[in-house]
Amino acid sequence: MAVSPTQVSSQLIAAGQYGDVASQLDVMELQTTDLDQWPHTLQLLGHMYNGDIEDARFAWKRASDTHKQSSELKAALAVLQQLWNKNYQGVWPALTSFQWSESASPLVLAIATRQRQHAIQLVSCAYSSIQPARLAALTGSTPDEALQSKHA
Amino acid sequence: MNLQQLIQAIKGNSHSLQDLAHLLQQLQVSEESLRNQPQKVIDALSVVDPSRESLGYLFLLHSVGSQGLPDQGNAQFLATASAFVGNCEVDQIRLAPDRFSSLCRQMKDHAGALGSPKLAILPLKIGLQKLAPTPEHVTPIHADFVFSCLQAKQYNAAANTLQQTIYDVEPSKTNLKPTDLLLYCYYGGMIHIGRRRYSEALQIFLQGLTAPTHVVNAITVATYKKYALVSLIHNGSLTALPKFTPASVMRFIKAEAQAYTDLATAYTSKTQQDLPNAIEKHQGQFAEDGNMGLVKLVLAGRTKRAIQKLTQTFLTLSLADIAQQVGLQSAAEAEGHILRMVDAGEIFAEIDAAAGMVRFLEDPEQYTSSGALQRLNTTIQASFSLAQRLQEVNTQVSLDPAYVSKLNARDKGDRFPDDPSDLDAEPQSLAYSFQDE
Repeated sequence: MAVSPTQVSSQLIAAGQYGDVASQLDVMELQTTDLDQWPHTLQLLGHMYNGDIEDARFAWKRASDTHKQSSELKAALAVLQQLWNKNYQGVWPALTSFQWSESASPLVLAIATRQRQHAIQLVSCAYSSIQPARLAALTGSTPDEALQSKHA
Repeated sequence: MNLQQLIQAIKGNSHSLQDLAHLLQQLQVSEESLRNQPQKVIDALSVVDPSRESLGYLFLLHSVGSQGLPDQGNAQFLATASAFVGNCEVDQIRLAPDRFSSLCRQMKDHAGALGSPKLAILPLKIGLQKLAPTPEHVTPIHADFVFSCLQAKQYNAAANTLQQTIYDVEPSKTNLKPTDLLLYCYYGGMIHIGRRRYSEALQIFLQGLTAPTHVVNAITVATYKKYALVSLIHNGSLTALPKFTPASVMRFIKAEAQAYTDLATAYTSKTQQDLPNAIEKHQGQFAEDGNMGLVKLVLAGRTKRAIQKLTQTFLTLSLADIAQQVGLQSAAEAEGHILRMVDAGEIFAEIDAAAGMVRFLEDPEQYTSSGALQRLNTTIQASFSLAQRLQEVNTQVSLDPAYVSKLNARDKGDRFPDDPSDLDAEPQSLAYSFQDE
């Protein structure tokens, strides 16, 4: 292949086209057997950004045992598990406790932003009253920030 | 004719449809001899043009593939076949659908043997698009394609193909066998299950279960078992099979799928313990069928059903009460469940955290927004086109010579016979019968 998958995904991320990362990687994956340098983490995160949790899970299943040992992939899997179980609180420690690599950080940030927006929307239709601490836990912010965003 | 002559014939007769028909016959006759000289055939492939002499290339390549599958597969063969499928001329390969679909099957087998089933995915997708007369036709390649996606764990690669509803089968143009259709529906459903698209899974499983048949296939039984479990997960009950399901299938299910019917009964029973008991009782059967994962999902889904049932009785309920009624450990756990269900649109509720109460709401959809009207419009349009399609099929059937002659034969029995010797003939003996062919 002329361009490496890591390069392709990095370009997409740099351009802010987070939604295309997973689909591009999927197509490239079908055409190559050399998966030594494959950016599994980016593929996983890409699917999670699109909300395709099931596809992310299969992308993880396809990774070799060696790749599965990578700490970053393990961290991405931890986020995936929280999203799979719809654990709105648990996803925040999973997103923030790991020191993400330079290539993965923008994508993780994008996922966090989306998740926060989704949580705020969900809370506004599911709750008639809610404690600030609870709101903070669900949206991954401090109670003060949470109150601010509720008014926004 | 020997190989050299055959190559000449291929080169000379690949241009007009008439020539191609003649070439097809020559190729079919020569297949036996091709099988006896594999190495020469492989060499011959380099002088035949896959994109312009596709029919000849197909037969040559197919005979190489028919040599048998080595344990480790043959990467060279797979690469050549993949390139061919991409380059071949559609009109030519459609003249030999049996060889083409068989070649695709060989590719699937080789990719599997090589340990890289995903290598077959893109070529098979191109292959099925080329062989199918329209996107609404199903081909044997469909089944192999979806199987490769399953094997390679590339489930979403099958998504676009599965989205297309199948309306037509034409064995004469696609070489489709009943098992191919059944496998496509079964594997397709498994893909949907893996991606948690349960209503799509049910739809495609139903297509396989209601396919007309007199005998029951093991695939059909396996399909029903998964259908039953997905129906419990998605609908909370085992939706009965439609009236047009073949009688043989209905009978077989009663006999073969008892464990699943038991499970469905236990699911809706008022006694909490019935379901875990039923699962334990039939655990062996479920495990043997490879369905334990789905069974666990059925069990997990019961909490959701129980909460949904509460909305039918109560307007408001405290979180603690919900937890107690449904068998959860704490009010917080109940809150989590409610929140997830609201997110998924499975319930309409408002949690008052200050009071620890939940208010169950009606579906706020008033169907007055432009979005709702647009959805309604799309559904109506779809109904119209489906009705039109049905009308066309109806016309086709009523013009079919076989149908018309049977209709006449039946009428003959009802009318007063012109020939007096026919007076003895019972109307029933001339009656229209379904079992004829």
